Amino acid sequence: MAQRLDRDQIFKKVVEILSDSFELEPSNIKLESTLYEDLDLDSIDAVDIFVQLRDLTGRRPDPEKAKQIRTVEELVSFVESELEAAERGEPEPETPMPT
Amino acid sequence: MSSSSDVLARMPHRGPMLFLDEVLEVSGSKARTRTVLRDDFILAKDGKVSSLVSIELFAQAAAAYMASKTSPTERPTVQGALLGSRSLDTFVDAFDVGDELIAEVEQVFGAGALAQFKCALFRAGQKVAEGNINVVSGSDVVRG
Repeated sequence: MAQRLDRDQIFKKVVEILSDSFELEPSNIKLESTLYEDLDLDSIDAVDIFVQLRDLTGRRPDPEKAKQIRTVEELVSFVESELEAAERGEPEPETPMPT
Repeated sequence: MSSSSDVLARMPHRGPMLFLDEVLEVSGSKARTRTVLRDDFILAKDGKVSSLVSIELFAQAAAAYMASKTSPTERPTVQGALLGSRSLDTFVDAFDVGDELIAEVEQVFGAGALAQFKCALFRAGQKVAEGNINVVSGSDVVRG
């Protein structure tokens, strides 16, 4: 079984996703960076981020948790908790219809 | 699932702007639709239709998926808008009038009014386009 990514590795993956998707300079992406203010992302960008994180975690992101995330560090913690949930075999959350 | 005609009636698209002929299947978070490019298709020119029409076929398939989830008596019909795509690959330049196109869409994420669909388009069993679309749903969004 593959070893689970640690926080540093998750951070590197998150930086890769953010810099590749939104043409951000990797050195400007810090743990404490806020997604919507510091990195100037918007809610549509967030949808793209969470779809890409799905490939990383192997799980559908929980939209309720996703909506609470404001910083890169919270994004890293989110991925970490999703990987732990996958290890525990927790069922994936439903994909809610847009309302 | 409601009948194909019921689902199409709950979509906001009408007349020549309704590109779907049939909703073939809705299952889980996926939908499959059929379009035949007739000679009076609104985007047809000299017997050809640009393959960029794929993005609208994906959007209408997503609308059909969302319409299928509403109550048959619900009015107004499902409303929303295509926000765009970060990834769209077409493997042919154009389609021919007479082609039958099958769109397959899967909702891969949804939060609030926003959702993303992973999409593919097939002609005679061959994939001719793929990508993803972001959509927003809700009558308030459309009214502004």
